[in-house]
Amino acid sequence: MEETIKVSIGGISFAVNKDAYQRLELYLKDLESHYSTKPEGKEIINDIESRIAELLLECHTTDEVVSAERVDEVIKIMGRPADFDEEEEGEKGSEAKSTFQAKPEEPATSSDTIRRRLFRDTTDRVLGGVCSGLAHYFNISPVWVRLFFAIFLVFKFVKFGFFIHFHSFAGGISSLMILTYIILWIVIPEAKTRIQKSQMFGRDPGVKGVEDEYNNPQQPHGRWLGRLIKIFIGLFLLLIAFGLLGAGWFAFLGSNKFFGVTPVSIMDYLQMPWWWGILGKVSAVLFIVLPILALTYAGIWLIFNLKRPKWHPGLIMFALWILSIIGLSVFSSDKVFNLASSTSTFKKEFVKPYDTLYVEYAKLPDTMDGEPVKWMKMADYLDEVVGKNRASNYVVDWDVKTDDEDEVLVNDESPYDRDYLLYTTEGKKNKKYALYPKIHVLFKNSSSIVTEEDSLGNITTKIVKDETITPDLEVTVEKLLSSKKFFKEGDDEEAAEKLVEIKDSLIILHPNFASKKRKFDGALVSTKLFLPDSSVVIIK
Amino acid sequence: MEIKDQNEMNFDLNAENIKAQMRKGVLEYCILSILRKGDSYVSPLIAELKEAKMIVVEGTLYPLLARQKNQGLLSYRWEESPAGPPRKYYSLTEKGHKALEVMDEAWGDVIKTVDFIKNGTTALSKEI
Repeated sequence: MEETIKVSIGGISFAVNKDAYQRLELYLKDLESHYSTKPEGKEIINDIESRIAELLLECHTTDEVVSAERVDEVIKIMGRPADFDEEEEGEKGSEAKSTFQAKPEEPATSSDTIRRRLFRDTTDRVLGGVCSGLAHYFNISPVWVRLFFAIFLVFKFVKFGFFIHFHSFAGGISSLMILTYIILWIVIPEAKTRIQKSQMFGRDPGVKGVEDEYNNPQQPHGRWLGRLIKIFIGLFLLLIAFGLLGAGWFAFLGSNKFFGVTPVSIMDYLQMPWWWGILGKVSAVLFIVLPILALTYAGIWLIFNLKRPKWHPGLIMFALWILSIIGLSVFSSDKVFNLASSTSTFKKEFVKPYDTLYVEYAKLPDTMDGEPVKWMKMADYLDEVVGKNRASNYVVDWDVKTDDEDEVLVNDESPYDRDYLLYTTEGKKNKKYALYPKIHVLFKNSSSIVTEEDSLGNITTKIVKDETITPDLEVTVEKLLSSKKFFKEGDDEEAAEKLVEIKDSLIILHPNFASKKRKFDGALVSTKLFLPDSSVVIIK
Repeated sequence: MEIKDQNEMNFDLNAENIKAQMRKGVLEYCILSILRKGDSYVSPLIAELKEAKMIVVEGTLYPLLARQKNQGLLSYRWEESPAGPPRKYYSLTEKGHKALEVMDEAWGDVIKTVDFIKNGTTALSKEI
């Protein structure tokens, strides 16, 4: 058999015999030497090349190999450069090179050198032709791929009452599959042209491919090892992406809760300018979502050997991710979340020095934001409702001492603490919070033993009570989100006035509220009660 | 004798040149005129020009198209073809339309002039 050579003319591959190849090469060299000095030379050569391809395709019937005679005919139709001589211009243009490439090969026996590519088959579709496209790519019947996706849809819409954990797991997976389908729909191009349709099946787009289609509709594709490695890496990336998705879900939307709400929605309870909240949320979401997207994209890209798009999605995602990091660091910079920088302390006076003082927590309202509410201690709520899913370490600091005594008699010398007392509403939606100030009781030694020696040398010992030591209440306001941008200086005093009230010998601690309507102003109020050690405090 | 031969040859070359020049000018006019009827890619353009016996070899067309495109008379877009490689669809630009109008006028004038000189009659009556 005569030697055949595979060539690409105008982007289309042809098998030509040796004679034909030499003639083509000579002709194109001729063209090149003629036009390479002209500025538009490359374009002219390319145009002529694609026309040659068209002419070859036109009369290229069942005989596979292009003969020298056919090439001669085509050259005659096109004419030699000398035949269509234009006036010569000495201008030097960019060096034009023909895209004519030759790769001498063994006589082509099968069409497995044509690379199979992934397209959506819109001629055979239920939704976007993704399933049929995938099936063509993997050389299987579309039914299997559709069945695969359909099973996950069943998980989504049919409830498995018998095993609740399986149901929530399957539901999550099926959401993921729906998302995957949508991503594939976007990422995979549609097979529009005849060439793309041929590539979808791994067939030669030329006449030979049409012939193959008749003879053997299903063909394996080559270069398996490289593809296999890519597919493995791609799958691995997808796995990481899904893992991250799970972690992100858990941390930002799912069950990991602080005070019974998810971390993202905590921002809804804090008083801050709306744009600040948006900055925080958008940065946080982008920070989590972008790597997942990027990994998913890279995975799909590797698995299906897609073309690299012109708009550099990877670069864009990376830039956005960096922006999200900047956004997060601005959002959480210590100018904003700094307690220490704005602590102010106020002294409160009692009308007269009482021997017995009372501390009372003000009653919580029955309605808030126009809704009836039922309050419960945060610790109880977390134990009962949220259970083990809470981010326990963080919450412990805020937990309430769960002593049940209504009254605590304190006449001990050691300081006594009542931590911030946090209440929340029952139920999971529209949660509201009430935070009582912290109270800290300190006793001052008001008696002292005085030893006196009179003129006779008698030594007397007396217990002297220091009358100048009187009850004293110190209110300290710390501000969360303390940036001077957001809060005025007067706010602290206002908070101190509002939350700690003194009525004769009674100290009333009022709660500071937080809900989506009534945002938390960030004030953390702690009170210090200094008392002579002879006095008594009753905390109700 | 030798000198005469030389002159004859020179004349021949010039005649060839004139013919080529004439045909080239007319060919450009023809290309634009075909494209006025609608956008087209190379194959139908060639078919029409061949049918009208304007061109003998197809290669003539490409440098001309390239030049007209560079002059801004033409523009092209790529379109997928149902068979074979994607095609360049050429269309007239606004400048091309204007140039064509000027050419139409010039062509009319040339016909009139040539007619008048050759036949001694004005082509005015024909035109109306």
